[in-house]
Amino acid sequence: MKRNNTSKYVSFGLIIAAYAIMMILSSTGKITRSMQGMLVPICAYIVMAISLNLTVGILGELSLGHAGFMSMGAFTGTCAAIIMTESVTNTGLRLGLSMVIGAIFGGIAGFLIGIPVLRLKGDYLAIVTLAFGEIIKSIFNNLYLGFDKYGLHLQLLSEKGIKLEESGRMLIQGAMGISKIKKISTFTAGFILIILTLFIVYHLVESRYGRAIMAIRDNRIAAESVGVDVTKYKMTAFVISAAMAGAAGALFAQNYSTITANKFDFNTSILILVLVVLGGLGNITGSIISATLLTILPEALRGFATYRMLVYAIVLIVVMLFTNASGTKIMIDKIKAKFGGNKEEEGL
Amino acid sequence: MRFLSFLISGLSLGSIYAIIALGYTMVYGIAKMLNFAHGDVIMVGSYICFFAMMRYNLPPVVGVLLAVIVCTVLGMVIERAAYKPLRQAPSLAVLITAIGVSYFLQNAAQLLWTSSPKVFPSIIGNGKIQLGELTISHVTLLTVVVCLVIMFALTWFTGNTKMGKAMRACSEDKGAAQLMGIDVNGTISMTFAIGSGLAAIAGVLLCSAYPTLVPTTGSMPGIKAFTAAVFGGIGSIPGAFLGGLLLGVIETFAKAYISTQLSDAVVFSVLIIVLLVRPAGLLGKVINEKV
Amino acid sequence: MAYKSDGSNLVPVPSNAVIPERDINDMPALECKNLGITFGGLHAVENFNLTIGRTEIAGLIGPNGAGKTTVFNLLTNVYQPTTGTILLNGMDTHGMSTAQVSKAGIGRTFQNIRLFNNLTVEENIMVAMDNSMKYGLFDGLLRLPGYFREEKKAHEKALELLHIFEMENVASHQAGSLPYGAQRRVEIVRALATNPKVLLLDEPAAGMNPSETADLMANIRKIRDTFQIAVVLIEHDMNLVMNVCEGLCVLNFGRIIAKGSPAEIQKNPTVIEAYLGKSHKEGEKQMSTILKVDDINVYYGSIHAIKGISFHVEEGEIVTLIGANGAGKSTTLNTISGLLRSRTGSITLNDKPIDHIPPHKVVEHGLAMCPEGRRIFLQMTVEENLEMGAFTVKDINMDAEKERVFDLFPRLKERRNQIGGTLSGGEQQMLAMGRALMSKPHLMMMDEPSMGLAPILVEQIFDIINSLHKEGTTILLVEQNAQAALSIADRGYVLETGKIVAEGTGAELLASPVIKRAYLGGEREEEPDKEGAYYF
Repeated sequence: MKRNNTSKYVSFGLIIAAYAIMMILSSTGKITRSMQGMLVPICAYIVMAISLNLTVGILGELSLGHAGFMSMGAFTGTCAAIIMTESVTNTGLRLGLSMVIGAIFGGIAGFLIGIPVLRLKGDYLAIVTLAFGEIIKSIFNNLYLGFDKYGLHLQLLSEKGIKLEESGRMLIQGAMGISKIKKISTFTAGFILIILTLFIVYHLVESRYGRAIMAIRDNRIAAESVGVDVTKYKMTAFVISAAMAGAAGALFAQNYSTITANKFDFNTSILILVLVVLGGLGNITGSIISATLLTILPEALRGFATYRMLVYAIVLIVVMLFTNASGTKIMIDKIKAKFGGNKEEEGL
Repeated sequence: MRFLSFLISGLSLGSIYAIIALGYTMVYGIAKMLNFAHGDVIMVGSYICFFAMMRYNLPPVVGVLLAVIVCTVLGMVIERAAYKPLRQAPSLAVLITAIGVSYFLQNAAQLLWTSSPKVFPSIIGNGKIQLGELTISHVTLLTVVVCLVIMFALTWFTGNTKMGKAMRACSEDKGAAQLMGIDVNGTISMTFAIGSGLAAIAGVLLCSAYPTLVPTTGSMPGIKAFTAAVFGGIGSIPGAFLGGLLLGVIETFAKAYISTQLSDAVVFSVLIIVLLVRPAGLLGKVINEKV
Repeated sequence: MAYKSDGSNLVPVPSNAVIPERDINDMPALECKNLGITFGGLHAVENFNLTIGRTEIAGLIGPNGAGKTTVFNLLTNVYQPTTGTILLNGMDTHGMSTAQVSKAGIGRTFQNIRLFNNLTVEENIMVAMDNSMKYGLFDGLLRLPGYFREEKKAHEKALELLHIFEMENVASHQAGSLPYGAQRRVEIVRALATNPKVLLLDEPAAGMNPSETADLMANIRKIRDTFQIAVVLIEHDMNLVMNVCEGLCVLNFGRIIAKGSPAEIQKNPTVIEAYLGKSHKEGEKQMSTILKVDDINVYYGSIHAIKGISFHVEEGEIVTLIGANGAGKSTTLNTISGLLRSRTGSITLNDKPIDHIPPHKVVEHGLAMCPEGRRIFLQMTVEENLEMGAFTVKDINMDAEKERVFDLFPRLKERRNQIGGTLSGGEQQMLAMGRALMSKPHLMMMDEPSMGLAPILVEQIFDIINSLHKEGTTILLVEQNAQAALSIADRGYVLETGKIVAEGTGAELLASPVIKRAYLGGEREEEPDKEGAYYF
């Protein structure tokens, strides 16, 4: 169990230090507007990256539809917050509750999609998660939800059938999504969510659940041979991961005045996957760093304006080639052998 | 009659998916990788054909030929530069690189050709055939015919030529293929070339049917075709063909009888259900790990 | 397993086991009745009957491809048996998942080590204790007292188990980074952590050095004594098998060919034939070096698999490489064919260096390989497979070459349009040989051509090799069936853990007592000497 501790402290340390620095900078007014606007999205992406890392890095299953869970949390959490506007006046508490609701719905979605996911392997599993993301997007794009004193009114495809009381309002308007959202997400809330996420992931990894999940990743057949119930543990990891994504979605959505389903499309899923892979599979600290850098990078490249996305693509390819090409791999192995080469001969 | 006309337009859309899916499936079969940039090669092909016809006033046939040549070369270059160095790398690393290539192509296209939509010219005019109450446009007919021709040509190629057999041998057992003296790298490169050439044809057909051309034109058809390839059993050529056609027909029927907006949800739900029943796709084979 | 097979009836035989009171007559720990499985029409295991006492150490032995690991996979329900029943402590395990079988009391290790490589040694063991740990998900996430209590208990138990092999000091090392022998030991400890009643060990000594193997022997007995459990082991190291097992069961072609005490098995003529094969006639020879291998060293990652091997093959010769599993025979062939690379030395074919050209170019220099496990293209027809064999040859009359192969293998001609996957094992082997012959190679390499084939087919395959030899084909042969290989070979080399330890003409090696001793072990209770006995 000692193995994780360094990385754990580094992760917590980084987050706390970054939070403290940002708070000091913003209180002294030294922070640019664009940076200020990016703080909440960065927090949301960090949570998304950690959450997806649980699925891809720790459970070892590829997911191409993680934005679907984020979308689920964003829509349900935001709707809940709007409904609670009058009953819960404290914005912090309201945001917290909306994230919990987002997490619950994310988890439910995770459970539902987990049923087919558990029966499939490799690329077939990946395509099902992709399909799931597209289905969620398609449904939210055509969902109309209204709210008045009689409760919720839900309809697919058009809002014609929804007749609301005078005091009621439309929550979700199909492809227009949710508009007039109160921007209650704050950097502090994001910080707390990240800390919570880290607690959950590290505690999971260091418990018998996490061990079993990683054992399945490393060698499914061996895990079965020592009595590990593969279905149960895969589902546990999947649901937790989806719930975290749901909470991140609720946080993310309430940083904007409008949110649409198209914000959480396939490209978003891929972006999160890129964060995880660049940060290193199973490496939580790596996910935090890559989520931060890659969210800032397009902004930092704003000077290049037209070329920035091209540069982003090139950076991505070059990094992957450099870290994974067999040529550089051999080089790295040689360096490792030079410094730790005696391992083989060590008697035990 | 309505049913029949939907079926025909479904088959036409499915034909396009099938041609793209063939590219996915061949590359997957031999290189065991998901080439996410495949959809964007389609887009490049469409642009080449567009400029050949509109700016240089070349005849459509020359435009298509040019598109095929450029895409073939592009496919080989992508393979050589981005995927070949990663032959031994974990599949996720290759996947992310492919995503990088996809972004690269989209953004390069945006810089070169701007993101303002281009209206793709018809390559064979707007003629129609009237069969009683049924109307079939020339483009629809052409699409289905081209798909059938490609399907038969590919089946013949992999079954009867030395190169085609080498491709099958490599996709089954690379080590044994090498022992036979087959140049595995060359064969993979060839597969990318063929897949990308097909993508160019698919691009032209796609834009003839849906004439708005933007740098992201290839993304959604790419994802759908990839789905079609998995649907049919990835790695299987008849599977890609079947998967593509079925996906096209299901999508068209969903649009016609259920809802235009929810058609994607229907298509992907069908996919999930099919995979639940047949975990390796319609024509795929389940391979168990050796203990 | 104090029973002698007599058809399907089991007759008790006297045992010279170390344990005085045999408890087989109470309830046996494990009972297999008429166990069998078919893969695509092939009976991989058939009519397998075995009874294991509660504290017995039993050995499951037999040549490569005999179906030993398949039996383990059946016992743990990795494969569901086609026929028969398995009773674990009297309980039928039919329909259970692998995980449930583990809970019911079978622990196992794997032939190709399957550790959780990225977890620490201790975590590997704690995963196996998962079922006996009693805290829930929320106790874990919120770190409630139950978590600390159970984790501490598991931690202590893990260290206790590691103590068997005195490995507490590596508890926090990453499992994948341990040396090979240590990984094998961790796998045993992990299996023990599931609290098994029967422990299945699949080649526990593979890749271990003689002193490690001696330790292992002592520890297997110690495990049985401490935990009072039954142990079944598959092993090729005959010294270990003969010394540690109280009963042996010999498997060949998926059937039990003998059961009894180690002493009985060593004298059993059927067993000797299964291991050493029957002898074959010799051919004539002439000289001119075709292949010269000089001081090659091959590594798998950091494992030094081939340690400075040199040998040569003359024109028209059959040269055979023999040795135990993992001695490096296949690795040597794969290095010659270019699939693996040597870090040093050179390989020349017809005086041309071939050690730095890609494998597909090596074929053009006149080398053909008939790989282990045949590896024909299962989805291509027989004719297409043959055509692939002549892929590099220009100006070839394909039909004439095919006819030449069909003359050698008339069976293939009948099936010329059939898909490779539908052929039987023997036919597939013929196809693999025919495919290699299509390019008219200067040197043909064959890797275990008789593996997994029925005796009658093995004989046929060796006759064919012999007639190829008489036609003047130069052959480098790797074989498990040492007797058969040496009897048709002009010369042979004996490999052990990546080195050549003996060489000579086929007749010399055949006559040498070293071979029989090496394959079936020496006298019982004889300890391996310091130079290392032959571990086949």
